[in-house]
Amino acid sequence: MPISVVMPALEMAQETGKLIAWLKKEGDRVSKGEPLLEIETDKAIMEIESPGEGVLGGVKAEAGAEIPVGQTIAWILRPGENVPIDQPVSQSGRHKEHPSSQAVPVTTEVAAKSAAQNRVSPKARRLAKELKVDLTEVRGSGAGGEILASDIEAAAGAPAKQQLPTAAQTSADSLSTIARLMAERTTQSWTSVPHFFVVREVDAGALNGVRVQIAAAFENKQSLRITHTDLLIALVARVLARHPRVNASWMGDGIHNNADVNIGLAMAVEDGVVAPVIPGADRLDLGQIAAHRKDLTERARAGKLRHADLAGGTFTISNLGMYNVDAFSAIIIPPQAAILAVGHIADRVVPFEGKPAIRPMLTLTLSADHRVIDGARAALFLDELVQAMLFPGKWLE
Amino acid sequence: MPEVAQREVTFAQAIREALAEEMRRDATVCILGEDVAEAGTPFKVLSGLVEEFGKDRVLDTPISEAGFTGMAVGAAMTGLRPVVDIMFGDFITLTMDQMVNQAAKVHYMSGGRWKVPMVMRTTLGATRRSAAQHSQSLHAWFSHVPGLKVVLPSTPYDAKGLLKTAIRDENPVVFFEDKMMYKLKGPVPTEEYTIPLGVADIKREGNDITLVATSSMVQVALGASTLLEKAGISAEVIDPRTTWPLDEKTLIDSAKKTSRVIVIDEGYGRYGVTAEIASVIAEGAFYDLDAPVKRMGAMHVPIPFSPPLEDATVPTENSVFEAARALCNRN
Repeated sequence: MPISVVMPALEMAQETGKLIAWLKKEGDRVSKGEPLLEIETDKAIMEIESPGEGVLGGVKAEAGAEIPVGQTIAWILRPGENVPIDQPVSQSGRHKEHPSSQAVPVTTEVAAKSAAQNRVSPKARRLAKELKVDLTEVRGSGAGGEILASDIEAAAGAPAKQQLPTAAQTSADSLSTIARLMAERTTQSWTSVPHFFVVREVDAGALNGVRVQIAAAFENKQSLRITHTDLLIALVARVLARHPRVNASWMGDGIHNNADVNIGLAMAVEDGVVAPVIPGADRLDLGQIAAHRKDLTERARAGKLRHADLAGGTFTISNLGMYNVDAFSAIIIPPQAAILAVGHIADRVVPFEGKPAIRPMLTLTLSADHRVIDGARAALFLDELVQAMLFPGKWLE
Repeated sequence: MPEVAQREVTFAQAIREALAEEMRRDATVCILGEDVAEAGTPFKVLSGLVEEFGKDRVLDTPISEAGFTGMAVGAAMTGLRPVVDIMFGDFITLTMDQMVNQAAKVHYMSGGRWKVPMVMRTTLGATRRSAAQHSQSLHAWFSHVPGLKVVLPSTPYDAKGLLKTAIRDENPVVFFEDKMMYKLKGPVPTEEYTIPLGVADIKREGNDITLVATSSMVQVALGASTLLEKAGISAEVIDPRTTWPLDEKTLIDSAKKTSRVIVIDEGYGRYGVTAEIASVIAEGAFYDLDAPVKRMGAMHVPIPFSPPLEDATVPTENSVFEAARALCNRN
């Protein structure tokens, strides 16, 4: 029997996946487990392996298409087998139609029409149910594109439309998944998480010193460049292990302590930001952290992060030092309870041993979720982190 | 309407006939108000009644609406059936305590032992060039109060039949007449008839849109429906005839039939009769509505004296026609 290749659901709430590329062509021989295609989910690009052995056939989706999860997009055929006759495409209730791009008179009101697309009069909605008309198949004739009773009656009388491929994307759809998710998640966080902010200035002289000393050792040994970010990840993770509340999560019903310290690192990618995670960072040495960080950075830039890279963070660091930002406030990534915003190291005139001195200074801004962390806890955490940055040696042994 | 109704009388004459017939029928029916006797009211509605029934039963009062309305409440409680004439509906403000706190409450507060079988006749309607204090349509005020019934006749036939029922009612009824409609002629049978309160009338049958109209707006809606017919839209015109009791079923049934409704009333739209009726329809016919229920009423301003401005404050055949066409998606 032919084996169907379906758009997989990789996350609980995933509705669609975007087909990035076929790694095999129609007619290619594939073996089970061989990478077959790449898809982009809400969080990452990932490879999908062939579900069986045979020849790839009946490819129904092109690169770039947004495909409902559960939909068959191709078949793996054994010798002598043919592509099965089209079955109704929708096998799962999650299937969502896209407005078909058939010939309709082009109007100047495309934006207005699409905004009104879901507006259905009460009578039309009732009739659609009674006459079993799929509302997504109906074009509204109301002044604002609303679907009216007459549209349903007309649709009920008309023969069922053919399923059309969904090659044409509207401009809204072309917003990348990452950009759309960034918009959704930050809005959700900013509007529902009670943020507050605690700020500390730190003398980064010791940090600079330790980077040169300790880091040099690693660099020689493993040809790895140790960055300030790596040092920060290591120090933050170790301090976090002593402050379980700052490492905790808000889970809707209350505070959930996390057994591991998994540090997310915010990274700018082409059209947004992702925060891949270094798990168990409090138990990794600087070299391991740097290696992991380097791998994540490279794959993030290539758009090759896997789902697992992005899951399970308990605290996030966002460092804009390389962009010469003095200080900033970051938006928490729920369910995490805090995020640390790191500015650049700049020479400042500050009191040092009783005299004005020029010192390399750094500003840390901790954003905390007040449902989990109160001001005192945030301050204590930040204070210990500052101490760790002033005397990093003993924390990194 | 009986088929023998070939005789045509004016709205004013229909009112006068109803009063005269009830006064002949029942010696306790009397009229009191300003200029009701010799003058027969400024609108000449009551002309001739004082000659037939005398000054004891058609009583000219001082200019004191609160006073003579209170008298009527007391007279009604003690055995008469007074019909109070409040010349301009704007003056009901002076009678509010008598009507709202006394007349509307007595039957209830006495455990049904007292009755207040009185009628207040008054006027509504703009476009008479009478300015802000003589042009309002305040029937919503009384419609808001439990214990008062409110009647809004729109034709001579309805006016006569409803007024006779109002006079025979055992508790207070407020009867609003459109002062611009007194000269409107219509068929009224010579024989006795009454019209129950709380029964709407389908003034015109149609399929595409329902125009719910009251009092002065019924003729406007009928005019608009003629224009709509030429545009290929079949409008049904429903006249509730009483805002309380309200014939909800007829309103909802018509809305279900046509799926589109405009409610037109000459009172202020804000918190007005149109709001109540639109709400009844939205609740009762929600799943049959193909468009939002639209309301049209007096503009939310004091009625201007300037004729062009005054005319702009109330719905017209044309404005109703345009609104109906837009609601039917045909412009």
